[in-house]
Amino acid sequence: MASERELIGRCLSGDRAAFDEIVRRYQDSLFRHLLRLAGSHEQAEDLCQDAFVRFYRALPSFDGTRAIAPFLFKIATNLWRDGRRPRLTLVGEEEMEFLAASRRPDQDILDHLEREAILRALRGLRPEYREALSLRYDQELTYREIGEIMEASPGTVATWLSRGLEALRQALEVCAKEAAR
Amino acid sequence: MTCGQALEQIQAFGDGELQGEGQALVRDHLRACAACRRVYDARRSLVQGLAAALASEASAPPRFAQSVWQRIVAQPTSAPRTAARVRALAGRRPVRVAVSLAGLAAVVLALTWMLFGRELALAKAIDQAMRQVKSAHFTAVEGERKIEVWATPEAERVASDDGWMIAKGGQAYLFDPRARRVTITKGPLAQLQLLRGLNVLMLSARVRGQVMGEPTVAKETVTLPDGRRAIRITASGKAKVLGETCHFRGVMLVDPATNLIMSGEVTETMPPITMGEEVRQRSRVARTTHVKVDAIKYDVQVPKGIFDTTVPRGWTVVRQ
Repeated sequence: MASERELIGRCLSGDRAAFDEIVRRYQDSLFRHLLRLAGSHEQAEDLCQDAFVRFYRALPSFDGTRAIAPFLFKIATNLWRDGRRPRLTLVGEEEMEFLAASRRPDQDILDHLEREAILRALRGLRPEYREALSLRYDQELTYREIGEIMEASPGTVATWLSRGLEALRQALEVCAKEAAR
Repeated sequence: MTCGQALEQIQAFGDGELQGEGQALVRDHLRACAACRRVYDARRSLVQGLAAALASEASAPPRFAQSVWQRIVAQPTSAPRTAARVRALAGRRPVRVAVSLAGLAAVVLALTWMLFGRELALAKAIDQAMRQVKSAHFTAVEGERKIEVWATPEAERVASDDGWMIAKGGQAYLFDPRARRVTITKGPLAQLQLLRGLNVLMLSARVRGQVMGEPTVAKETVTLPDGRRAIRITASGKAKVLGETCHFRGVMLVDPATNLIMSGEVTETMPPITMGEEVRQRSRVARTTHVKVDAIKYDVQVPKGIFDTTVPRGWTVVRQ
């Protein structure tokens, strides 16, 4: 598999296949992240496309020694922030059906229910917790990279993650108690 | 290191963010302290579950990379070198927008309401076209439940296995065959009853006119998989229901020749309702409902008695 640096170089020399490869590598994770931010399937798709377009345009000034993910996710997050309106604060809730429809059919039913519960609990968390948890445990970015994207210090990111996980645990506990009734 | 200090850093430790002495201190503490170790193990298990759940969520739509490229080509850049290159690479392949016909929904009820009265030429055209049709009939899928809708300018009937609702003359009649009960409501109470009936499709019909602010509306011309052209309208907005904010997002396909809706889908999110103990209990969890509608038929023969609100013998009537 070609390295990111190699792909960037090929992109800059006009190789469309290299750009497509970058898009394919990041499209799903970026789309999911934007879906969690924007809450709407279509807005997420739109933002995701815009982010890649901007990324493409910014390539000539991109430092090829850096990782693509933090740069790309920063562009996407800024796009979302720039266009954010009050209506976007519903975040994710309305997308349950879309998400459900996209799940793999062969997954174990218990796993399915557990994941469903986790995702539902996640949607109830504060936006900064949700965003940080998504960037860390879906995109696997470092605290420093998350901090760059969310414009916060690594220490703050650590706090958000820790509190976010604790809030998630409590929400799942409540959910389990309700289910046991 | 105390337990408090260890617990503060436990997540950074688990995420590999600690190095050197800091990492060693937490590791040593976890080896020595069973209580903190249990917390750490539980946290790790939670993180694994969360990661698996996050990874199971939606993927980008099919042919996404191609769509990105088309957008790059369609948006001339201020960097001429790149733009020229992009155009050269893209060639002259015709742009074809793939549209999922998965469905469109109670849009007849919800989306046209969003568009009504807006300064949007198409909305006016749809409005006009809808006024000219005498009836509409379609079936919808809400989760696993099928719903059948009959509508005329004067009345609507929405039916599922759970029962049926007839709305006419400013009143809603909710027929519940299990309870052998008809609930007649009007005004805000009608909405309340509809919430109790947990039929969001019906809710769509009832919240018309209570839209908050300006819905966001976008439209584009698309080619359907069968080659037909259609206008795709996407709208999202909010409405007040019993003081609570309900969010809508809908998509519909409109026939450009007749301006009639071909199909649609609408997603509605209701927050927990806080009015009254009973309702609060029944609506404790925010609900999201996704309704899909296909193949709406217009000017069909409406079966006789379809809007009949006669109470079946032996049923109780509740007026609210």
